[in-house]
Amino acid sequence: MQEPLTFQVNGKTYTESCSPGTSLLTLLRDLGWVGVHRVCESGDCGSCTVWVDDKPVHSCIYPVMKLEGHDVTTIEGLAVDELAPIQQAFLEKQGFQCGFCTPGMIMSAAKLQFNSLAELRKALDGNLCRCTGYEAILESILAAKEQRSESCLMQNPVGKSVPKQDGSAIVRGTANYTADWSPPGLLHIKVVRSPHPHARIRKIDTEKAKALPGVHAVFTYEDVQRKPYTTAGHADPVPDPLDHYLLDNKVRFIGDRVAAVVAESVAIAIQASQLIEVDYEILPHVIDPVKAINDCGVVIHDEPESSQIYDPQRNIAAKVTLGTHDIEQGFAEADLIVENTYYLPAVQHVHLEPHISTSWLEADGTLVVRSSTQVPFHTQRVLSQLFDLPKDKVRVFKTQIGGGFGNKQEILTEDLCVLATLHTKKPVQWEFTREEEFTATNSRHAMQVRVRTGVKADGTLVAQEMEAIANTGAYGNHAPTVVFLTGCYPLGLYRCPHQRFLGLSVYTNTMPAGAFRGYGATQGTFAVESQMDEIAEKLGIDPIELRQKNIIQPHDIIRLGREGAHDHFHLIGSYGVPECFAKVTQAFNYVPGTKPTVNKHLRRGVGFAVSMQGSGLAKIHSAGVKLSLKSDGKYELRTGAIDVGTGADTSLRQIAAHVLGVTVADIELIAGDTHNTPFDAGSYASATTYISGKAVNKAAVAMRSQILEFAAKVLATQPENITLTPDKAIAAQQEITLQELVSRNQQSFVVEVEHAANESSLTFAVQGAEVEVDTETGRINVLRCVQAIDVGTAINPRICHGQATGGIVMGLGYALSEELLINDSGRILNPALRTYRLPTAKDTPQMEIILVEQPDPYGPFGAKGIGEIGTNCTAAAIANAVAHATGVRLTQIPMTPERVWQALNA
Amino acid sequence: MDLNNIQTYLRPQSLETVENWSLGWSWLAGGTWVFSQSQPDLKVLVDLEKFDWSEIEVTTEGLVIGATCIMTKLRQWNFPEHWTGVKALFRAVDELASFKVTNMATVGGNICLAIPASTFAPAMVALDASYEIWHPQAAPRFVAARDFQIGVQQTVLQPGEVLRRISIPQESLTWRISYQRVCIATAGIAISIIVAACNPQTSQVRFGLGACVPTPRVVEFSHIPTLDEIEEALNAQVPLNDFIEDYAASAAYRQHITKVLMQRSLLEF
Ligand SMILES: Cc1cc2nc3c(=O)[nH]c(=O)nc-3n(C[C@H](O)[C@H](O)[C@H](O)COP(=O)(O)OP(=O)(O)OC[C@H]3O[C@@H](n4cnc5c(N)ncnc54)[C@H](O)[C@@H]3O)c2cc1C
Ligand code: FES
Ligand code: FES
Repeated sequence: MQEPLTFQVNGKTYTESCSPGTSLLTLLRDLGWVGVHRVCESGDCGSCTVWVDDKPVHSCIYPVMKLEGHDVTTIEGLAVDELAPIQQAFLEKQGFQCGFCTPGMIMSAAKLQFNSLAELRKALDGNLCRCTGYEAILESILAAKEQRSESCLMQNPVGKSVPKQDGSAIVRGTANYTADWSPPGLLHIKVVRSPHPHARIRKIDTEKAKALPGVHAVFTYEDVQRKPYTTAGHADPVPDPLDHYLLDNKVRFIGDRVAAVVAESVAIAIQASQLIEVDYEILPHVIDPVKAINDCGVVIHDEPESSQIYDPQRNIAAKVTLGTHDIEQGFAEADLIVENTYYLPAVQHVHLEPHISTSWLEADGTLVVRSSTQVPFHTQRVLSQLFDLPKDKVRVFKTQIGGGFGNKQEILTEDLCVLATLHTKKPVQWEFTREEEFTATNSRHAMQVRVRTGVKADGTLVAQEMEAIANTGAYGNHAPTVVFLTGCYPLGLYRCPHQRFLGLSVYTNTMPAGAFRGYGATQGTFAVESQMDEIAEKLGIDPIELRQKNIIQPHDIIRLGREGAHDHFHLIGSYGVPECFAKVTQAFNYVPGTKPTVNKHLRRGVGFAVSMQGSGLAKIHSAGVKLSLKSDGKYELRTGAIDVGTGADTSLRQIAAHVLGVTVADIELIAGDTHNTPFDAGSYASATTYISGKAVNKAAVAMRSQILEFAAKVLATQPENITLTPDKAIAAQQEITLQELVSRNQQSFVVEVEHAANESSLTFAVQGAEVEVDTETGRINVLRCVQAIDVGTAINPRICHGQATGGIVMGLGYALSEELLINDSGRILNPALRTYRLPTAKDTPQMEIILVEQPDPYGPFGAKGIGEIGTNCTAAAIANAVAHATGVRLTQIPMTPERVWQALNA
Repeated sequence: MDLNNIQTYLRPQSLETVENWSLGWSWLAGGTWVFSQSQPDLKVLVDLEKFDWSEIEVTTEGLVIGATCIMTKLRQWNFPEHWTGVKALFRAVDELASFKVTNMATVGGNICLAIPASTFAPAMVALDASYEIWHPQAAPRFVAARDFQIGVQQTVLQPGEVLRRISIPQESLTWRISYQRVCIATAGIAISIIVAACNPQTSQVRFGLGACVPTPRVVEFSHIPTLDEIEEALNAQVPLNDFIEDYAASAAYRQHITKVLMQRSLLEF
């Protein structure tokens, strides 16, 4: 320890001793200023921004030993009673979704100097946001100058842009994320991770680590039961291979878990983990999925205990075949056959809040897990199976979540935390570092997708064949389901008499792939939508016309995917596709056949793509809701649904409030807690509004009739004569307060509903992009994106809008810059935000979102799922625009300047 | 991030008091790089802040920048109007990460870190800067900016040596500047940086090349070159093998883009 330091934080004086390598970020969080967020710890993301003597700095790279005599302001110090103007502006313009970037964004924005929008975008280089696409953030900062106030007390809230109900906490830095609270006496986990892509563990020596003071336990495969499971959060029975073990005697990728150290501090745990000696028998490894299926001499899952693996000997985790029709007959009828292979990279979710969970034992023996998860109920089930605990003795709940995008539909931290808590009887926390996020969680499946299309001279599709080889990495979580969607949606979008799909999910010695917004459809959409433009070009038909000619129509039945066990009952409910096409082409003043604009080395073009995604999973995705009218006359809504940051908690309340004739603020919400809310499958598959929202809708309708019926009895009239107001039931001559009703009722006003959709309505999106390509450097500059989404009903237009802009910008990163680069030995070369390039505010184009509203017959108030679809068509639209601009077709993304340059010079 | 293996953090008042420099010791200026990744080999950090070496001096000889001058301070300094050359320094600050990094990072820190993508190194060679190097127990020595870096994150600094100040001759400061930088995305680590300086009187042109090569390089012309002359000089002086080939870009692309940037910088003269 060094000399104590004296400094101020938010006006409070501290004298503290710190260990000499501490960052200001850690000190501030340890002192309880948890509005300062830990994301990258490398100065790249800006989430940890604070002011030191009024100058904004990244607290993660500020050496605490420099702090003597300085004065720190964190987000918590910005507002004393009233919000600062910049906080007010973020609240009004809703410049956030999950809110994890927000404190840093606000602390930077408050000190920004800019004279133009372009300068503002540039000045935001050091602040990353993964949710919003920056649009709402830019609007907030611009609005900070002019002040207006908007009332949030909206009646009949469905269809209105009700502000996210957690907004005030988010802008104050008081939103309570998983890391922001923990029980006293907390222990921490660090995991020793494999340095080899494939090896068997001969021996592990943990003696030195165990002997280190402060170490409470060390676990290896020898200490755990060998039970196969999947890290994927799916409903039982899970479709995924059961191929993962708590700790194993074999490691299958660089970053795989070898041993877990539990210690009193993260620093001690790290130190102890460096003392563990592992003797590895190095095995041959395979990185390329095509080699992996072709007798390469490597079998990644040779253990007999694993099951549900399609062909372990050939490293095929899962195989999906769709389509029953005679494909060659279709091709025989074709006037033109086009074939191409498309290469899609592994990309990372980069939710800013890392994976983290904390577990402890309650006095009554209940095991509690507080986790940043999209699937608390599945996690509860898996934990109870893994540790032989009755389900009611395992409570899993979530608090505020800082983004997930699918990577938290996964059980990655909870399992070892629980192991450690059960063993030590102490609270234990495990938080991933950014490097672990990049190297030891999941990616989007890298794929190569071959598409062959047969078409008549008039543009009628007669045959489509698709073959996708997906790299599922070392474990098969989500292996079958992701490739299923690669074929099912992009092909299902077109009415083509002969379609065939073969999808293989292949094991390699790389980080596993898993669920990621779009879930396989994103990859397939790029391939099919690129090929549609290639066909249009060859036939001399306008690409929009070609799509419109072949796209499925309202009464079509999607046969693909209906023939087997994977039957998900996709169905066209509402259908706004023609309007989507019309709106997007209008926005560009699109005239078919227009030539690209050429200005020396700069070429401009436009391109389009269309995509389809289901709303939730039919039959198997269920959601429970419990709605009560409490003695104070207010409503309480309990739902197992998870708001990952999208605003679902607000949308669900809007639905209930609308039915019950109250405002959103009148509905208290308790969500995502296995012990305190009914079951919900979780937040994935664009299901929350469509399925959980429907459950809320049903519950609210039932509650309303209960109240009206009882009030009618009390007031001696008929229910239809009664008007329900926020606090009263009113009949012609008399009225009664809701409080009074509750006290008069022998039973309580409680409704419990469980809902599973019989069908999953399809959502459509059409996107156009305008690009400028620098033919000398190969750089693509996306000038403009317009996306029309066939949303059914927008329960909350601003939230829908945010999903779309966030999705577009995520797609933009996929198209242009994001890629996990993996070398021959399976090592990820760019596991940091410095080298893995997310789009910044500067990269985002002008965006226009058009919500096409035609109420869906199945969703609540006619709403459909929109969480994923926005990501799907961006990359294809950009590739098509590049082809229009330059005449060169890129079949591999990201379309980095070098790849574009190579293609132009090929 | 937290550097758990650091055992000692020294904040000496003067250079002479720094004794027994040994393996595992490192100078620390702003700390923005030192704290941005794990430093498994370091045990002792020696903070330069108290030396107060952050001066900016404008003299008839030229410009002197103290090694620990914070980048923002340099960026906000009012220089004589005819010093068009300071644009190279301004751009070196603007192109480096965020304003919150440059609120802490020092000019000397960037130079001594000596990564190929340094935003300052090509500017310094284009401005023909020289560096003054001190040692706690030895006499100062001087090195030309173009000789300072000898490899990726390798400089001529010996253990215990420290960069004291940077001098830029008055003459270069009146040259006109073009600063061009290319990354894979619009921000991040550059794959090529070209800082071109042109003497408005003689049309002499000096290119500082960075990011595309492991250490900054200089390509000079006695006049504004033609495109062919650029191509020829580059091929002769910086052959393909000298360009960095890594996961971010191939050597061939770096060579190509470097030529394009050199050519484009001429449009500004
Ligand atoms: C988000 C982010 C993005 C970045 N992007 C880039 C980039 O694109 N291009 C680029 O060039 N850099 C980049 N960097 C690195 C940046 O250049 C450094 O962080 C910064 O310049 C270091 O300055 P500092 O004063 O903080 O030095 P420190 O971090 O304190 O030190 C850096 C190194 O220099 C040594 N050192 C410092 N001063 C002296 C001295 N006077 N004498 C001898 N040795 C000394 C230290 O021992 C250490 O090895 C980035 C950094 C961050 C955080
Ligand atoms: S956590 Fe500090 S910049 Fe990302
Ligand atoms: S709101 Fe910005 S990261 Fe989630």
